[in-house]
Amino acid sequence: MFEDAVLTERFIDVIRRSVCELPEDSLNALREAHGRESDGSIAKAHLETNLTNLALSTEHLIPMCADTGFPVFFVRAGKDSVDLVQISRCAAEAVRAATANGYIRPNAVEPLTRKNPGTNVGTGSPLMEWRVDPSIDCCEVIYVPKGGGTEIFGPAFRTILPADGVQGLKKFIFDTIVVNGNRTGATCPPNIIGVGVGGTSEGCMAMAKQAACLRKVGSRNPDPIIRDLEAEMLGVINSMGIGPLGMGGKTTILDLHIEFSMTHLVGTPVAIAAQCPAARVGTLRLHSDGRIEKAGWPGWFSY
Amino acid sequence: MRHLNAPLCLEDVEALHAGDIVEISGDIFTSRSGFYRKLIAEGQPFPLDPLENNVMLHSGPIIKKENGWYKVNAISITTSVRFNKWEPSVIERLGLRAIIAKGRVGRETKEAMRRLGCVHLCRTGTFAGAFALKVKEIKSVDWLDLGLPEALWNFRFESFGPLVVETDVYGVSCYDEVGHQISLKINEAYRKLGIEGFEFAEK
Repeated sequence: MFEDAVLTERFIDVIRRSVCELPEDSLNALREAHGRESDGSIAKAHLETNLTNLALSTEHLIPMCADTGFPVFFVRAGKDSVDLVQISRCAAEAVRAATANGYIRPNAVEPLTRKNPGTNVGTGSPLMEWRVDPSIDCCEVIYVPKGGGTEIFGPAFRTILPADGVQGLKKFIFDTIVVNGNRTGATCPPNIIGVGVGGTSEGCMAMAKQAACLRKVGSRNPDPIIRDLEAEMLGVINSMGIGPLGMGGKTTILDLHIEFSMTHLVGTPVAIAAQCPAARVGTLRLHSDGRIEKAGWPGWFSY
Repeated sequence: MRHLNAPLCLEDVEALHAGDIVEISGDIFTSRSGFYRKLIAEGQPFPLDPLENNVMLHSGPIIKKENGWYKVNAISITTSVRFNKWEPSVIERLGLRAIIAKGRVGRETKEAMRRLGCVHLCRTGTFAGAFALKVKEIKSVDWLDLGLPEALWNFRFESFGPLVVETDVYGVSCYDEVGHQISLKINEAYRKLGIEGFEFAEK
């Protein structure tokens, strides 16, 4: 259906652009945050530089952050058949080529020896996340270069018991970000926080990551209880004054997204993942008639 | 915004206070882990003139070889606190007046900066890549055996910034007051969330 060379070339283009351009939702959220801070404040200076440098990065195709992330692909396969083995092969090839061309930094190393093959390709890299979605015809391929700061300082996990209830959930989210969180800007606030509630332990962390990286800033979960919880946590966390880069201000998080799924009756796993303002994502839709279409935003979540 | 010219003198940094916003022009050299290994563990001589080069940037830039010389594709700015073990002796030995990085410095570094007259400047924002456009010239490169991102680059910057004075020579950090304000608000936040006094069933 697709030539390997054609598909790889399109993936390389998505990888290259994703590290130089932000999607509209994150960009608008940064503009709004900039508007909220008072003139002459450090917070405003941080957000001002974000907007200025981002415009320069997009114009000159300079990576917005020299940490061009760990390569992750989310693939959402619809009803029409595409060759998923080919997608996997071309994704790895595109990462290798984008690295060789200097579009992205070689960030993927062996975990214990720290050996860097210099290609971003190896066991488990690029990371491929697969999902089947019968509600669409095409196959959506989403590239997320995941930054290191939020990977090191962002994630948290614990199981809360039925006796802990919603209070336990609130306490864990708040303490993770505000009390135990690194307050000196290590996650480059303002962040986008993803929370996974329920499922199994590994599925819970995956939900949190997807909620942080693949949901639009400003979107709300359609479930009324979860929706209200998102808005409540967002408001209270931003009222703490941690601010951009942790130096004080009104915007510590651009948004907080909660995803949930059924879980085992004994308890509820809760996972937290963070995304930085370099909330980079690139999306392609592959159609069975051979068309490859660039999309402004992934449809991983319908809201 | 105050404009600084490197190299800096003691009076320059004594005039700066935590929270001030500045930009800086002049020669600035880069350092990461490999720099400390060479200078401290292996005891190699500093390849630049410390009187002309007293502003250090914690950076592993993306560099491309071009027409027999080099080009900066993107600037990265990395966290200072992880170099805390070596930073005080480097400040002393090289007579540094400013370190440009992100985050905060460790306690020992803060003390050395107070004693020796050195400030910690943080980049504003997150998107440091485009600061590459402020590099007007790559004046020299040493220790290339560390690889392109870790090598010791000496860049001539023009109006690099805006930067925030994070820790000044008086031992004040702009994180201190923010941290204090947050601590004061935590109980009120717990109240708002209805979790005041809440404890997990299993700790």
